Amino acid sequence: MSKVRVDLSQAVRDLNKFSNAGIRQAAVELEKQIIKEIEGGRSPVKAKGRFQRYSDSYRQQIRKNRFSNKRPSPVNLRLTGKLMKSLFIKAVGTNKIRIGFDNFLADIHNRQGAGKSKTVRRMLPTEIGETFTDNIFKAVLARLNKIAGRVFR
Amino acid sequence: MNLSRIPTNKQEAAKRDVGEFIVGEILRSVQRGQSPVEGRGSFKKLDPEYADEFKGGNRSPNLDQQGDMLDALEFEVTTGGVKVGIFEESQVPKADGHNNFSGLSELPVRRFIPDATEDFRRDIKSGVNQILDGYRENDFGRSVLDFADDFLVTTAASQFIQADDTISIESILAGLQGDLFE
Repeated sequence: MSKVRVDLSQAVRDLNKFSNAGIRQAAVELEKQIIKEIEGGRSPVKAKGRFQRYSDSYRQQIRKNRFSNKRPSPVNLRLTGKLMKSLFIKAVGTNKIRIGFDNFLADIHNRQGAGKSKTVRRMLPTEIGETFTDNIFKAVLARLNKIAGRVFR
Repeated sequence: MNLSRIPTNKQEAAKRDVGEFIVGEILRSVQRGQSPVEGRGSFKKLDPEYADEFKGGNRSPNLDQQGDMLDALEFEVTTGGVKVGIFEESQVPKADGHNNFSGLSELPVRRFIPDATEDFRRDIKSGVNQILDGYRENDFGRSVLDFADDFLVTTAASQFIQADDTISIESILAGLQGDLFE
């Protein structure tokens, strides 16, 4: 009979280290990517594409410089900046991330619909079966791969 | 597009995911003033007069003045893969003005679609391969698609985007080995 004992304690320590760092870094990257998508006028929700353009009347007001520095495109949902600043992403426990906008406008854009036309611009995948775009996941995975490269040297 | 080992009943979905991904990557590149075409680098800055008149003085070239041209960027699923481009007739001249496939444009070339001799950047092609791998049978490792599944919203609780919305990523870290050790 041949036997061998393998000590995996270092590997387990590395895995735990990666697990702790990974969840935090995934949250940081996800936040960055959600903001990037919305500021570029794109929904972070898979299959939703570019946000619907602003209404003609709103675009007209923008052209008349009623809102300083506001451009008709991209449709970035930014006027005062408060909505974007209200985005929070937190690692909860060891394996969950909590994501949300702490601003009433988020629900108007994301679910109820804005303006007379009730235009919905999805900011988060809150409906059953929805998820973020592959573009976002690719960026998050790239960050996790980088961290893994450092931990498992 | 290499659809080998992707079951026939999943090929349509794979093509759609790839099309959507490429359109997303083009828009992300253009937003930061970079070409998604391999070897094309950053776009030339906007002319100061044009920037003053239309962009509030901002000379970053994002090809997005009114949004009509980029809104028209889309993909079509074909027999062998996907076709990505500007297909809306009214926007084609603008797109050619930037890409200059006709050779008639007098604008600085800001190519956001590769011509027949070019290709997308390597990172974009690698993303496409990751998506296709996710549809392949018998592949070891996790793909962007598997990763996305971890984020699928599975509860009806999140009608409002409030602090209670929690998206589970329970198995991300447990199953990433395929990507990590590639």
